[in-house]
Amino acid sequence: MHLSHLDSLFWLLGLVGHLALLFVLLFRRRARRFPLFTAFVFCSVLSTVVLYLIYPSGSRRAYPYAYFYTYWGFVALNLVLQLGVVYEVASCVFRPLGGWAVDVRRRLIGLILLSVCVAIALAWLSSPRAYEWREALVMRGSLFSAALFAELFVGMTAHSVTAGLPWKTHAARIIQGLGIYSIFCIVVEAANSYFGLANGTTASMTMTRARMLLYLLCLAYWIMTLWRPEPKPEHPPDGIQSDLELLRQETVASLQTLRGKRRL
Amino acid sequence: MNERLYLFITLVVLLVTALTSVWIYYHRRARKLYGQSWESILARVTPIDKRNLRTVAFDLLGEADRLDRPDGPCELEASEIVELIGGFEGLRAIQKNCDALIDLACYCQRMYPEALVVAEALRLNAREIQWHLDRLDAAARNGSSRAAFGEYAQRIAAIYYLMTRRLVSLYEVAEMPGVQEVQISLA
Repeated sequence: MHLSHLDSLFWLLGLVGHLALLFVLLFRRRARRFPLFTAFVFCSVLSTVVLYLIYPSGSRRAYPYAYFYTYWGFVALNLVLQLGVVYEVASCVFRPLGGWAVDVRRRLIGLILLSVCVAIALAWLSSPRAYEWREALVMRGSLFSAALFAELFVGMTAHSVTAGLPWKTHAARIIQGLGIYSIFCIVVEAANSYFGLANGTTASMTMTRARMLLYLLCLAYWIMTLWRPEPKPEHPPDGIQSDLELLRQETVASLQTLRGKRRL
Repeated sequence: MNERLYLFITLVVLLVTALTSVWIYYHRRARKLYGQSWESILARVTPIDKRNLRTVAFDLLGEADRLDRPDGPCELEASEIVELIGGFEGLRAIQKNCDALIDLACYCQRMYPEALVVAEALRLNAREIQWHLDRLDAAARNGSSRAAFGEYAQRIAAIYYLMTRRLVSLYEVAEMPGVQEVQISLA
């Protein structure tokens, strides 16, 4: 099968978009703060180039699964890096001062457990229209990861707003882009599971192109928002940190004392 | 279609709808929250009789919220607490005010990220109030609200009173704009 002009254009735009984002991350020195996100973008560049190079030979009889294994190998690597990105942005958003807030930490653990359970249920319930077990496994895995990441990113957004954490930081922008993309990925993976992954299937191709288009929009969003500087906080009054820590200790201690008080 | 496929499609639709709804709701909430000034947040605080609040709180805490008073005896009867707090309506007002107090702390946090630690502690206090209110609601459903009111309402009043004190201190420490208005409104 040959790539259509539209698919080639998406491929090219994806490569250009990732290279531009990589340039922004390195040139604007965001890579130091987001090393895993940078690695995720670099992996995307690498996979685009490698897959493009091996694509013509992928159907040769000697290496019938070369493209398949390379593609899904990169997907697995991408998955691990995305998990890293989740941790990286969660650290930036939820512990800007180096420590996890008690209530946020509990909620995040709850969110992770719930997300994993729902994603497992979704993957288990799906009945992929696949020709062999490898394809079925891959389709279930893709659905699981799409559901998991969508739930994690949306949940993180909800928690960060509830906690009143900074909304216009670079970390929040990364979450916003990945969140929207991941929600759409659930639809795509569910459709792939229902209609099958066979090359050339109209539904599969349409959904894949829609996903690529959305991802390109996300890339453009990241390039723009990561290029711009973050809103800078005000210069705090001298000695504020120790005063605030004292205030925090008082607030926590008074609540604990109150819990132990009895109304006789 | 078999039953399993129905379940799968239902779960996908539910999940995507839920995630999209949550996403849109929190985006709108974030826009609203970050577009607010301290004046508009403070305007959301429902006035609560400060003298009555202090009376109920001090009955449990001891004078000057030093928290060093030994347990009991509390002098206020449950009926007096009901009257001073304003019954369930007063408690609902406190619950609503907690959201405004946390938003005021978050407003400070927007300018000084260091204020995060205090905002977190206030959130824990607000959760404790919510917990007591839930217990009170459960007691009301079981028909034992009168006896429970004194216990839980006084704790709610004491926690809320301390929250207002800490928020005022936060605004003083951070030299925030509107510190005087916050003092007048809450202290």
